[in-house]
Amino acid sequence: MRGLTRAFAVVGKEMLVVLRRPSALATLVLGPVVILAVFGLSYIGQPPVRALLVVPANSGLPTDGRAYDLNQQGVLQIVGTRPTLASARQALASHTADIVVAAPDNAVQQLRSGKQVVIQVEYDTVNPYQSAVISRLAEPLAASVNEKIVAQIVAQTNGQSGASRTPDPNLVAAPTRAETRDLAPTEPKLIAFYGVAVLALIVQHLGLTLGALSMNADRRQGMLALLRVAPVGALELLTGKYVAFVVLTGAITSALVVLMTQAMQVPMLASISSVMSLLLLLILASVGLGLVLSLVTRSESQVIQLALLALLASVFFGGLAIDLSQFSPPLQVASQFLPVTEATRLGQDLFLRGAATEPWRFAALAAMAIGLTLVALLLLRRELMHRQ
Amino acid sequence: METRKADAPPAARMDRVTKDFNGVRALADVTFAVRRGALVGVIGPSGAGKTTAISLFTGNLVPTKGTVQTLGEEPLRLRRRTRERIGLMPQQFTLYPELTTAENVDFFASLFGMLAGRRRRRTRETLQLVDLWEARDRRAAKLSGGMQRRLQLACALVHQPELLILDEPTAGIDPLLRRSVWQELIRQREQGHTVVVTTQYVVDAEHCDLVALIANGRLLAFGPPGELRHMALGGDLVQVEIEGSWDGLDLEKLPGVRQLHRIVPGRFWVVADNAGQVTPEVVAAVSAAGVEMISVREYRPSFDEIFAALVHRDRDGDAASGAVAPAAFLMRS
Repeated sequence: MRGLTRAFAVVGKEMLVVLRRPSALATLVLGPVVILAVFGLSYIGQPPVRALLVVPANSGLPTDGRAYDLNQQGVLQIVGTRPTLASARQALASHTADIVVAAPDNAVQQLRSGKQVVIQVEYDTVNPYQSAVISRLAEPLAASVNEKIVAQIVAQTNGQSGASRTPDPNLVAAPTRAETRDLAPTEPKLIAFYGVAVLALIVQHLGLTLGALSMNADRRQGMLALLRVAPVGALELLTGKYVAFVVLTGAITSALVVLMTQAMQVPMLASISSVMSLLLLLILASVGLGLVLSLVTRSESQVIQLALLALLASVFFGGLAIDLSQFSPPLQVASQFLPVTEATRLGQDLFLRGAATEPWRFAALAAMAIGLTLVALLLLRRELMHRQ
Repeated sequence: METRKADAPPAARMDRVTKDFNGVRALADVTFAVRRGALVGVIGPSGAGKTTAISLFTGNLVPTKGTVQTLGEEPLRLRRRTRERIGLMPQQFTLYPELTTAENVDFFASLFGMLAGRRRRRTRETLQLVDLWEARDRRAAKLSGGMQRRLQLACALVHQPELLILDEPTAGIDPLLRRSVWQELIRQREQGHTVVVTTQYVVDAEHCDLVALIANGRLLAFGPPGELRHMALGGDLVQVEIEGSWDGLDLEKLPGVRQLHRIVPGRFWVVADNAGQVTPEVVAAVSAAGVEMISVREYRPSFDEIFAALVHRDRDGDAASGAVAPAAFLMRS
């Protein structure tokens, strides 16, 4: 009973200390909400690639850009045609087009004389992501131009022979077509996919910051000298801090989940209990990480630096900014030791698929939470026992 | 009751304790014991080693040499039950500025395992005691320096500790408040609690049952305040003023007189075992010598003077000559 009284004294104290600091409250409550809102409102996705086609005047090819449309709205936009490559290059240079696909001047004659026709594709970017997107679109665009050239040859050949049962030139030019289908239960949307990742990142940062700053404040205020004399143990202190921070972070997390699912229309297909289990494990692991950081550092500036480093590492190596598959295998393994990595994967599965496709990540997150708690307990015990 | 207390082991003691910090000696070979139920003042100037001494009692520091005991146990390994019997008020403000006055006291009461009902009652009692009940809903950060010190005192007192250790509770507060703090400490002592308190105000020694005078990490003297005066001067001091230029040698031969100091022509200091007993003898001797007496009175130097005299004696390393040096020092000053 007395142990519980001590632990709950710490719970109450920690909660009041957080709630009584308006600036901390603003950072903790409004900060995440603002970040999530800004993310949701400002993310417009990848703009469509603007393509400009070069159709020489005497080529006989359609000069209306719509004739070459690949039906990839939102991804590719054919902004028009030009008669010469030089004029198209000007558009490229002035950034009014992202890609130029040029049909040769005399494509039909070249083919008739048995020469291979070269369709020139040009773009101008130093952005690797944009380069990858444009390269991926270059091939079907060139194929579309190729299709029109072949169709024209077939049409001209038919006109010359006068045969009546020749197949449709468009069918000869494009004998197959592809149909794509996504088996996932929800439509892939960037807001939903990255929204869950941002939620995991915010929760980790909240828990980590609360844990890290609390222990540091106790040390800075000279409370440890009092706590060493008071009949309170490391386990009671840690229990009190965990309960307080889980309640505080849990309340903010719940508000964020409601905001995400109701205002941003992010689907949540899994049961509430599964999602709550995931978030609880994430909070425990994050608070534990924060407490460990605060116990291995000596000053507040050090702990803030480490918290920011953890945030940066989570953004870059947690799978939020860049997919982990794009990293080398050792870094992929290392990134699994960040709570946010496991939570992001699990969260995306639970919210968007309804079940975890990699259930082992639950065990990994639980192991992190338990391991970090034990390390924090040992470090706090050592700190309380430390004497000059 | 008194007999039992006298027989009981001391509430705290240090035996031949030396404490070094990175090669710098903070305490040197200090020995003293805190009797149960006593109000003990650890007095000395800033940087003397007072905080080091009490930090050894609380277990926040470990001695480099020597042994320390608090409530019969080694401070580093105090049991939980024993820690419940100790109250500590550190020198710096260590409370939570975001919590109110009452919440801070309640938090400390909880840390000491007090349950809700008793906690509420004790929080009220303690805050009333330190005159902070009216400010119970004010945040600690908004309190004045003096109120913060009183709040810290309340936090140290709330669980009614058997041994109360206070580091500079009167530092930086006004004289009226200082007086009220000392009244509270005396009240604690009267209730049977042991109080160890550090202060740099030497005059505070008069409130204490026992005083440990510390300077430069050395224990200059330890004992009741009255004995310290005696200890510093080698006895009681009787000041004699006469007309004329008598050498006063007859006074030195009187029984109970230890030494005689001529301050200026016509003025002497007589160091005696007991001023009350020797004064009539002095008057008679002066009269017998045919000298006209102007005045004779016991001279009671202030604790500041006593402290200065003891520091002077310690600095000169003149312990062997006992009272001569302090008396001479007083004479010069």
